[in-house]
Amino acid sequence: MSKSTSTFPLSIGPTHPAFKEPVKFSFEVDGEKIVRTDMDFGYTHRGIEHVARERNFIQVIYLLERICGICSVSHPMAYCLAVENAAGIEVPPRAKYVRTIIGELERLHSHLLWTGVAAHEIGFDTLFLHTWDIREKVMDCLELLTGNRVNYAMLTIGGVRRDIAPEHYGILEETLDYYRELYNRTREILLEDLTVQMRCRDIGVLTYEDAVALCAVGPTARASGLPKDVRIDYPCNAYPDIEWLRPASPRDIGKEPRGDVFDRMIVRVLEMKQSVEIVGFCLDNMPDGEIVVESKAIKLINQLKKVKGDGLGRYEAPRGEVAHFDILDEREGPAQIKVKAPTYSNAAAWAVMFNGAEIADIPIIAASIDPCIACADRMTVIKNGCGGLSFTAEELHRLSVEKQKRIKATCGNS
Amino acid sequence: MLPLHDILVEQFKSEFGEDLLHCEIRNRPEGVKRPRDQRSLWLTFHRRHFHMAVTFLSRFGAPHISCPMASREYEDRIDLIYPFTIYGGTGNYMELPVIITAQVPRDDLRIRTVTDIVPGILFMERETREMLGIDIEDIPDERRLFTPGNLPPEMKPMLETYRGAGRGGGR
Amino acid sequence: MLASVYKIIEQFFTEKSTNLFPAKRKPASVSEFLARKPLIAPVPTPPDYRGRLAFDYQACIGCAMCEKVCPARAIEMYPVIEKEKRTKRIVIYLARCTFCSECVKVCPRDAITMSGDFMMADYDRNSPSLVVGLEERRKNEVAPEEKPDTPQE
Repeated sequence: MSKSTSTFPLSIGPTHPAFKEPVKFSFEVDGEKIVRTDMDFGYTHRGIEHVARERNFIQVIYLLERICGICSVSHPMAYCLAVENAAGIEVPPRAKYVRTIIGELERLHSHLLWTGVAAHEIGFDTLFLHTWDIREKVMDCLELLTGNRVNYAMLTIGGVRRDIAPEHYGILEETLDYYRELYNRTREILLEDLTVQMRCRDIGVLTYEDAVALCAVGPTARASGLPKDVRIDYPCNAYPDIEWLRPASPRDIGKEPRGDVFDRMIVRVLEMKQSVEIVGFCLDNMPDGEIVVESKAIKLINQLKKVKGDGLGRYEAPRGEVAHFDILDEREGPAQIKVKAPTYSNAAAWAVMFNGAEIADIPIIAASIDPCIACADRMTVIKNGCGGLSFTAEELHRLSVEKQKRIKATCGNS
Repeated sequence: MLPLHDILVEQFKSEFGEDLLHCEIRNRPEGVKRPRDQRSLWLTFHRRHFHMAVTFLSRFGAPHISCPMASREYEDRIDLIYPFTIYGGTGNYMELPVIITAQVPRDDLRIRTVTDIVPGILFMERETREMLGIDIEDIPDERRLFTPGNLPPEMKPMLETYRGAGRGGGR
Repeated sequence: MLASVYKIIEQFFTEKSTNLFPAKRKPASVSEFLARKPLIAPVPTPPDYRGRLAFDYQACIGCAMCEKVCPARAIEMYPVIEKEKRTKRIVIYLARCTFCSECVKVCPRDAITMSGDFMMADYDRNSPSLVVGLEERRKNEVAPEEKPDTPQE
């Protein structure tokens, strides 16, 4: 008799669908609904903070670029802000504007990538390929400005390493016009399609009180009605000059924020438009001048060797707030760096979102806070010790797609 | 009207008096065409007043923790640095980092948890426990976070005295 | 809904930029097979693309600034004798390189340059195509100087 009311454990991970880092989830499932969630981290712990102790100031920038592939400008940006705070270095105005342009172009490409991943998770493959096709234009733009599609190597302490030449302005303006034209059509497909709403509405809810208590950041917090945005609360670079910048929220299109997956989608779509407008503003108002305080790397290291102090650098990555706390102690490199990625803050909120959802909703809820790229693989269902079934990534994806077809059928009939 | 940095400093000084070991306001000008000052508040307490300080801070606004705890090591103590921020999301340019340093004596490495005030700090406290070896009392979840279960408990990877096994250390 | 249909129909009329996989089974001679069927070329890289490195032996002065800033520790110095003085030159291990271009920027004599070539794969990480400056090293390296015994730190 007690068997009918007890839950059984479902383990997903460590390597499994819809995640960047391998994370082990242990769910307790009652029928199809999830009752409790627990998480286990540490599978891609690379000891970056320990490695950074043995490198000098310039080498650490390239180490930090490779923490994450998509937000690869955000970590060096927060590091440079922290070291500049600790050492009291002033950044020239033109470098601030160039940094803002690169940061916003990265935000645009990251949100387009997320849209594709989320669409793939709910089975809408046409939208997945459409958004990844649109994304190629901004990747070409970044390749022209920085020399590579990922890992831009643009930042240094006290400025940027490359300038935006006058012949690049025309290509940048063309790219921005391309996105302005496409925005309305893409927004229609994403936000007004009925099946997308039926999959995403009221799923993975994070309430306002939970978002405040668990320190959620980024689009996850803004979708729950908490308007936190480091670009507006504690701005750096060119953001203080932009008067019309406000945190994106579902209220901008007239909907009350409920904290579900659909609200996060709304926030990200609105931020794409914001990024295009910010890059346009920076191009129109670009100040002249030099781009870096000290361009010779060895001289810079020797100057920083005399500094003793600490500093906190915060920046708004596409996923949320990135914060670095650096301690400088008269050495050739930082004495200690502490890194906080935005997914670290949102991970506690993740556990709360799964409660009450169905198993086929796990991929879309997991992807909704935008963890990094999908790593493949297995899911094993353990039934009280008697062997187990194994689903591969394709089969889990197939479950998700079948739910989509069922919803389309009911929606088509009614 | 939210109390700004100078009023906050006065309130902390009047509440804690001598227990506030060090307090500092740092200014940094930001912005090109519309320059404004960014401020941050740096406070230092001994670990026995740390929990009271965070409770006092939470009266002004829900604290948000920005970064896991950094550490500075001296001969007789370890300083744990907690970068909190308050007033996030209340309006333009209002957020204030309040960076609280707690001094922990080396012969008695423990400090009280603050998860009852800021529940989101749980993961960071678990990381501090395993990386630095400082015992966090009354923590709701005692498991390790990043290191694997079979790492010997004496190894504390973020202490300055720990050098990777068999390598002889960096520069 | 109509927006996606329009986009799908557009696809039939755009120019292709990718190649389908050329053969189902391995052909007798791969290079002949590829010569018969013209493949669409890769997208050209922009002028400042960070690709393969090249080293100019004659311009280098042996100052070791590139070795200090390399994040991957991919630059190795070896002793040579030039103009009757002991000095150093470098080799760069491309298998370790992160292509950040710090060595290019820091060199005072512009001895290191970057090109737009990105197709560098090889089976052996120490082969001459992946170690820049290997031939000059084989011709010019001399034995390291005899130093008196220094006490270990």
